[in-house]
Amino acid sequence: MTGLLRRRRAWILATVTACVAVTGLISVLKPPTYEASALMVIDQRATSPNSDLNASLTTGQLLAAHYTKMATTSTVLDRVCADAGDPCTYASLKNRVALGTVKGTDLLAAKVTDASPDRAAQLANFLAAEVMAEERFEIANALKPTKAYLDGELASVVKDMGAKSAPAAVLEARYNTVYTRREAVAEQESRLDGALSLVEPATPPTIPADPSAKRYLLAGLAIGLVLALIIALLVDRIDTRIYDGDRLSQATGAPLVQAC
Amino acid sequence: MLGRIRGSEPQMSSAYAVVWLNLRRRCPSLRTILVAGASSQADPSAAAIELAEVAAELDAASVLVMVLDSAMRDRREPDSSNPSVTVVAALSPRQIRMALSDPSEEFKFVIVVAPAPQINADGIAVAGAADVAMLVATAGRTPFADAQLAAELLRHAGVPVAAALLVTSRERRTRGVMDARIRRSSSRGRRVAELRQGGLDDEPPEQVAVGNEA
Repeated sequence: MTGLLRRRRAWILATVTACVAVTGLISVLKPPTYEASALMVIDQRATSPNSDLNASLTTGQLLAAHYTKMATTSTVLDRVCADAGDPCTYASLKNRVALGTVKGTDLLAAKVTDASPDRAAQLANFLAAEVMAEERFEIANALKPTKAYLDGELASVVKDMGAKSAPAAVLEARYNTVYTRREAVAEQESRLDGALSLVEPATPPTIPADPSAKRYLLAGLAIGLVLALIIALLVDRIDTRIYDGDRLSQATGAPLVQAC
Repeated sequence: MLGRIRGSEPQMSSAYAVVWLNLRRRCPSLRTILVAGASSQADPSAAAIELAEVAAELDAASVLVMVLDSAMRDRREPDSSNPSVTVVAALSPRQIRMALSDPSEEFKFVIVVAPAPQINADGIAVAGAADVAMLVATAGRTPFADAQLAAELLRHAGVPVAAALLVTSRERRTRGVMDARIRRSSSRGRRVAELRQGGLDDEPPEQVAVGNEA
């Protein structure tokens, strides 16, 4: 291997230099894009009111995955585009947005990339707002049948109480039970509404996220090294020149071969 | 300004000493060695001079190095600082054959420097007069097929290829151009004088190209 590297050092050097130069050129020529992030927090106590820490964490992770998926749905992105105005479409936005957890925290970052730093920040804030709105809408939708049922039950009990169709004590007990359940649903709705909240709105970034000259050059170096090794191996395979005494011995059949 | 090839790398002498001692052990009656290039890229002159200097030191003998005119790459003149080594350059195959056909006690060993046999037939023309042949290849320059062909041609010419030397291209440092001529070395022996006389007055060296360079 050492012999190969020494023999093909010119190829290796040229390949690595070319790769680094190309990636460097790309980093210079590529138009800059900016990434803005709006931070939201998932209140795990709201989503999992019991004191089981593991249950809270699991719920939080599930919710994070749910929000991540929700952020790239056409429903949410169409609303973001409607908030942002032209030019913005679901198709143009879907590959530029991402919602992900901030490692080691219960924070969610709504990230948007754009050629303009101001626009990126604006879109990130709209995205966070629409995700939270969609979340509230989903909660309200999920509890709507329960609320409607309980409200109907309460109305029925009140009606029965007016008509005195049953003993007062029985109707009162039934009313209390239904009312308590209705209160619990209302409390749950209120708690869930606060499960996702904005903690830090996005601000226009000052440094472009891409291209990063350092990252591009390192990538060029890595690609160049791998490519150089492959080229060196290929060149070595097709090169018929003699580089060592063993090959010279094979070629000449001389009993004594000396390299100096 | 004359270009000179001078064997002067002390660390390389050990390699030549190994070659020389092995050749002497294999061929106790060794007298004439043909040092030929394995391809057009290889320059046998420097290797021949190194070998001659090592031979002169190890055997305490005088060595005559005869260089075929066709072996003088870029018209560079071989040279040796060792007084026991006499270098006569720019010779024709006929001159070398004549010199070798008349054994002299003046030189214990004779080294004939020839180009790659597939490039020029001069080496083959004198090969019959040599006891053994040594091929000189340049690392990273000499193609495998060329070295193979050179060895085959020498064997067909009747001389065993006893050794092969792989030199690095760093050895080929000197650059310069000269007219084909014989260098006036310090040796004043009768054979050398005759050779010089014949060489100076002789017709131009005969050259017959055979084969193609790879």
